[in-house]
Amino acid sequence: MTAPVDVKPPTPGLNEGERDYVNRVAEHYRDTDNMAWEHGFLIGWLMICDPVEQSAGELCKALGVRRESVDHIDALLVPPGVLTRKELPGGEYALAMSLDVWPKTVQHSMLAVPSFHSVMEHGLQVLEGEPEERRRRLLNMERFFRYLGEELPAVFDRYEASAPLK
Amino acid sequence: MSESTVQPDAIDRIEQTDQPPPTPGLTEGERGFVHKVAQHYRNTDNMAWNYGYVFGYLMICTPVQQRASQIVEALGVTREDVDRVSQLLVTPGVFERRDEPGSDDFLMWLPDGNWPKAVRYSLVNMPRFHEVLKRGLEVLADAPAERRERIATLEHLYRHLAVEIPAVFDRFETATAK
Repeated sequence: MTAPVDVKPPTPGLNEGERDYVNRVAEHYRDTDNMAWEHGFLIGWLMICDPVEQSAGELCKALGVRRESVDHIDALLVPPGVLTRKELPGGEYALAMSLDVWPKTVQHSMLAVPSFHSVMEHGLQVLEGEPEERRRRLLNMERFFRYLGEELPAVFDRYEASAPLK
Repeated sequence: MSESTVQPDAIDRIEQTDQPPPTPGLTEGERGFVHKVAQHYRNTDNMAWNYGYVFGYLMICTPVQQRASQIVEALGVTREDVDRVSQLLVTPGVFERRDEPGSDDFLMWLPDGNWPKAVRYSLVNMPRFHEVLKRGLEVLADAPAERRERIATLEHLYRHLAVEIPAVFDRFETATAK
C-alpha cells in the first residue's frame, strides 16, 4: 500500500516535539505494516492535533501531505469508527479521532480470535482426507489461533478489571 | 493498529450493494469455509465480502499457488479485488506474490506459517508502540486535558498490552518448544 511518492512529508505546521512524535508513529507503522509515510504521519497527527477535528485541507497544510493520502486514511479508518468524519460545505470534510473506539477496536479484534479459531477448525474438517501439503496452512493457523484464543480474551479481562473500558 | 488477526488496513468503504461472490469453482464445503472467513472479517473489520473470500480461498486452495486470473475464475470476484488483497497482505508478509514477466497476471499464495508469523510480529511490537505513545504524552505535557485525552487513553491501554502480550507469546513459545 505504499504510495507512488513515498517520502516523509515536510510537516510545515508542526513544532519540533509534535514532528518527532508523529514521525515515531509513522516509523512504527512503516515497520509493522509497511505503511506509506504520509499515511503514518496522518495517523500520528490525528492523535495529537489541536483542535481534535481537522478539515482535509488543514491536514494537508499542517503535514504537507497530498489530498489523496487524506482520502486514503478517511477510507481506511472511518468505517471501523477509529476516525469520525464530518461533511463540510463545498465537498470538504473533517476528521477527528474518536477516543473510545480505538481501544474498543483492539479489544473487539482480540475477543474475536476464538471465533476465528473455530473457523480454522471448520476448515480442517472440510479438508479432511486432503493431502498434507494442502492442509498445512490451516494446521499452522489452527494451532496458533487456538492458543491465542485461549489467552487474548484473558488479557482484556485483566485490563477491564483494572480500568473498565467506557 | 496492528493488533487484529489481520492488518486492519484491510478496510474499505463498504458499498450498500456489497454481496458475497458466486464462487463457481468451489465445492460446497470449500464455499462454506471461505464464507465463514469472510464473515469473520466482515464482523471484525467491516471488510468487503470479496476480499474476505480471497483470504479464505488462499488458505485452502489447491494448488497452493494460484494465478490472479484463476482466483477471479474460482470465486467470481474481480481482478481489482485480487489486486487489492495483494496490496493488503503481501507487504506485511502474509501472502507472497510472483509476477510473471510479459504478462499482467501474477501468482499469489499463502506460505505455511506466514499468517501466524505476521500476527505475532505485529503483536510483539506492542511495547515499542507503547514507548511511542509515552513520547506523545511528553510532547503534550503542558497541553490542555482535551488535547491530551486521546494519547492518555491509548497510553493506558498499551501500557497494559505491552506487558501482557509479549508474555502470551513467551508462554506459546515455551509450550510449542516442548
